Amino acid sequence: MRTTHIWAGVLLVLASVWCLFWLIPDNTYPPDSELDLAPSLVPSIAIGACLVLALVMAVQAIFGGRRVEAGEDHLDEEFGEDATGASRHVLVNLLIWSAVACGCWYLIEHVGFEPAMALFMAATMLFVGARNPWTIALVSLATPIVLSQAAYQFFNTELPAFWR
Amino acid sequence: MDILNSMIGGFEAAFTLVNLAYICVGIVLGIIFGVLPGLGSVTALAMLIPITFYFTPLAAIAFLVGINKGGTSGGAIPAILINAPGTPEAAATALDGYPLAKQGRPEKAMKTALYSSVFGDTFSDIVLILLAAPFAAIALTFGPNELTTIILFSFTMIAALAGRSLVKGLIAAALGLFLSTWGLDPVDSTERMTFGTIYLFDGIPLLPFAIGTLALSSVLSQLYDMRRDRGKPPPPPLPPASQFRAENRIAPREFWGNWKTLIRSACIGTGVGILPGLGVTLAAFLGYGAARRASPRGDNFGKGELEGIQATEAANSAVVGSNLIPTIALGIPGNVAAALLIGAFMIHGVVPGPLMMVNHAELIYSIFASMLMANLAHLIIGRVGIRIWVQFVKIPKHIVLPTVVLLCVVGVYIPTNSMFDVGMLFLFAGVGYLMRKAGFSIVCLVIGFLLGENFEIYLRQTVLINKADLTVLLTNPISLAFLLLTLFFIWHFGIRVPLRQKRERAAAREADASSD
Repeated sequence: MRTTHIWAGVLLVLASVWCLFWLIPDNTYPPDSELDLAPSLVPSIAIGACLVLALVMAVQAIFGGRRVEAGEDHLDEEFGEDATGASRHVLVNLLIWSAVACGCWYLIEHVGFEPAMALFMAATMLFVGARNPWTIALVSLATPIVLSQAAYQFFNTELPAFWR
Repeated sequence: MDILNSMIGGFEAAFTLVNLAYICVGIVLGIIFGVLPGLGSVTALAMLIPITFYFTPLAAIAFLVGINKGGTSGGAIPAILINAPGTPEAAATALDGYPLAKQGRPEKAMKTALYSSVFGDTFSDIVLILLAAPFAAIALTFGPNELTTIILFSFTMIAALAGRSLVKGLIAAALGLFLSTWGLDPVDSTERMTFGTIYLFDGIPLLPFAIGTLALSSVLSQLYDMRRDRGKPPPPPLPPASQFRAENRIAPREFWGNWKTLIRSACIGTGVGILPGLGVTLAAFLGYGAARRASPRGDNFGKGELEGIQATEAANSAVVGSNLIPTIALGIPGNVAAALLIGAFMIHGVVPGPLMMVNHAELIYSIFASMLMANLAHLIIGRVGIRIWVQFVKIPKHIVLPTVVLLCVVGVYIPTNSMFDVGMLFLFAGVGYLMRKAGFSIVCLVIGFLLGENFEIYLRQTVLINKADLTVLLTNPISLAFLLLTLFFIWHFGIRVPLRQKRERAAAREADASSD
């Protein structure tokens, strides 16, 4: 987790600097009234706080982390064992999700919800270890269709599909 | 007398077949989500808020409150049956529930958990009804000066209490605040980080943000864990059906004999719920610890002691009602579930805060009445369906989790028919996953996002009213008090506690070294 804190601190500092000096100034307007705060002030305060805190976190991790021994890095209170640190494995998982998400979004938009999500479900079930082909086929085909029909019948909403 | 009259009016409005139906469906869904490990009431709330767009405000909130109540108690079922808590707070229930199930009395444990949960819920709902109006009356005297410092204090308290690291909690809250500023400026209506797209004129949409970071990121994490763990031995099987018939009854004397534990735990849960930032899990473990210390059978805790189950379930369910006190009185969510309920209120045009009791008094008391009705419905549904909920534990995760992803997509698409929202959902699912792994608090991120807009509005009102003179925050006694509390929390949780922990670790290392 120490390495995660250092890298997170560095990346947050860089991102905060970019936001403070480019993103916010380029995407906000000056105030209408002299008495009012500038629209850029609160976002700048938030990002400024993030910058300072990220620096503190990185410094704490660099200079304080070496003294932490095994077993003293206690379980994260919100996520427990889930907070394993942003290792290379986690970044690869994130890349996989990014690719899958982009693919799903594109397929839903240009093909349709049912075929895109049927493909997604089948792929996901195979990914996590399901092997019974009948279960995979039945669940993958039936679930998107049932949800699509439920959305239409109960909420009068048609999910995207090229044939609608 | 006013409260009584208002409650009678509330019952009159809430006691309809339609409202009862929504409450019952909400409870059933909440229990199902609570039973399925890895989901829980927060996921259920995040996913099902979109469908309440088409409900009336009363039906929507009653439905969501039912989900919250059912989800909090539903997590006890897998905790008792297979030692796999459906929700984090049910981990405390497993301490005595699972041993009792192994002794051949799983249904007795589940009934005890259910009855205790309903007791705790009802207790805190009564406290909510008695305290919400007086709290709101006090809060009505607050102006922008006070509210600015109260929200600033809330950011700090929630960040301090949401996790071990104050710094990471504050970073998450600051990011949430930054993301809340995207969209049209609330005072000038000028564009701010909209990047020229009309989809961001209203800011980052709340539902994809909440569902992505809270629900979908958790599902992603579990899917990857399943991938990593495939090939490992399966979890232990459920107890055989015959054990559901043997020694199932719990006599009233056996249950009410521990009335002191029930009331103590309900008080602990209610107290935890009133303070923003303290979680349901904390209430469960505090209640358990207090019961074990006070009980003459304290040595039996952890071996299937009924009192242990009563303590945890009464405490964790008592948080649900009292959590709405700061939510209704100040518009400040006590935890993530309350934050999502705030989102639901706002979707239905009800702005949480002290004016809520003035402008929407009838609705509020109808919601209170619905909450009391929900407790009775919870008792009946939970009791009648005990053997049905057990079946949901058997559904394989490789079917449940992908289905939840689809439900999330449908849920964000229905209200706006916009693929932009689906894109935001996927984006924030990735952000939430990364935050989970890095140990950054998603609770702080969501609450920072929800409170951010109000914080900016109150701050700018303060500046405009006082002609840019912010020293008024130091001369106003209430504002000054909250500013000092903020500084105290930063000093205590950011400096004092870490230093103390560092000294304790050093002392422990020296003790180990000298014993070697």
